[in-house]
Amino acid sequence: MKPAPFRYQRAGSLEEALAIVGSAVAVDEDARVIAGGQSLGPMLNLRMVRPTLLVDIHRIEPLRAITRLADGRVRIGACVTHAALEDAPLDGPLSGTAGDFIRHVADGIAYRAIRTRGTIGGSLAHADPAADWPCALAALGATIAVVSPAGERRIEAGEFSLGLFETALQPGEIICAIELPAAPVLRWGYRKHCRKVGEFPHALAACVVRDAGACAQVWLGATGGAPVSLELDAPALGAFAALPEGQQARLRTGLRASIAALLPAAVAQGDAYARHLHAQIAAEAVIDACLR
Amino acid sequence: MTDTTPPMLTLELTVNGSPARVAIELRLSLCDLLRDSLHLTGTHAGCEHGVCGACTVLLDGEPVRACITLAAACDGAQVTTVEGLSGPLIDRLRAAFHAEHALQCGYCTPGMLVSALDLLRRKPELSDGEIRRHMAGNLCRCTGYVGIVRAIRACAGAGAANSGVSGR
Repeated sequence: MKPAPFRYQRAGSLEEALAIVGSAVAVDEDARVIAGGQSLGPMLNLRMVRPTLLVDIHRIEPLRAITRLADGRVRIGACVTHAALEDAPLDGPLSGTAGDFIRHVADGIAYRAIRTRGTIGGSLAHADPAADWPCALAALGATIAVVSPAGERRIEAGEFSLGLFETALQPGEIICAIELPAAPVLRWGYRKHCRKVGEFPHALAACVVRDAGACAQVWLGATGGAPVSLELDAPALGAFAALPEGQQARLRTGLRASIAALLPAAVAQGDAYARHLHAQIAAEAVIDACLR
Repeated sequence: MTDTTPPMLTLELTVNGSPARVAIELRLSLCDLLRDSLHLTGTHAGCEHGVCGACTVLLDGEPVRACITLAAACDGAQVTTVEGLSGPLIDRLRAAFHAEHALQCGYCTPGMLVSALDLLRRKPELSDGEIRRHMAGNLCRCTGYVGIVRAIRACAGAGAANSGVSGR
């Protein structure tokens, strides 16, 4: 038995979970919400965290649903597993190009035996800088719906992660869903560099294009803090797929150089190899978005 | 004086088809429940933080890491360990592991078998590269993986998918 002792309560409903967490917050108890526990589990075993209360929300059915709303947005419950997203049917709510992007990202997370338990909401709440969803959902322009006894509020995915294991969640709040915009995704690219398949990546980038024309924005993950967004001024990329090979090669090199120049100084400061890796992976994600 | 009694829970679940009722400490992992409380030592504890795959078991038919799954979260669940796998596909897989020398010390083998079985059920048609990618979450320190990949490949393809396997 590896973790330090804790109490454990399984919530049957979101209201019950909020009440339990609320009572814990009121007495300043270190309570953690747990869903699949695939990030919290290892940290408990290593005693990197020692909460005194775990509130298990993984069996709350409404949090496990994926639904398409009347206005075209897709609402993914916080306790939907990576495996459920990986397997999401092409003709279900996650149809179309945005669905392909979600399936691709989910399929690349850790290993199947992790994906069957780990959840999209848990990944966001945990906010490991090298995790997939914080970066992927920011690129997708998703919105995170969080609830507290005071009601529901919405946070842009790009503003949800604040740093290493740090999010915009306030004490007593629980993520209830992730909402994807209704506007169709035209093209996307998603790249990561892992030293071993399934390990956390050392560089991660997502490029999602909703407007025809150039790929204008790329999001970088695994930078040690919150995902970083870069605006690209590269109109030539719009026609990338139609260009002859030589010109494509020059554009690729140029793109990597311009991304490297845009990288904030704080990203992998003083580590030339890591900065090169971030720029290379980001350039590949953008090129993928041009070609896909 | 503070109360030092560990918080307990009585858990009811089905393990390898048989009902089990166990009083557990809340911080117990599914892996420790299987090994220490139920004496099913076929499930191996390796890294105990979700990296090595040795403790992989089926929980309601899906592969999970027993070392980072709380036993308390498994109330009412169906658990299948390597001891409980049966049916034509796992028989073929076991024979192929033997024929292809897919194990040496055997420590990783229970997890390998559970992961490979799940993989073959979900994706019966696999290239060697895909087998390697999908089995990347199970570490072996003896074989160099070549025999393991060969054994799984031997069970992939037409026929394997139609094999009924109990314990799902």
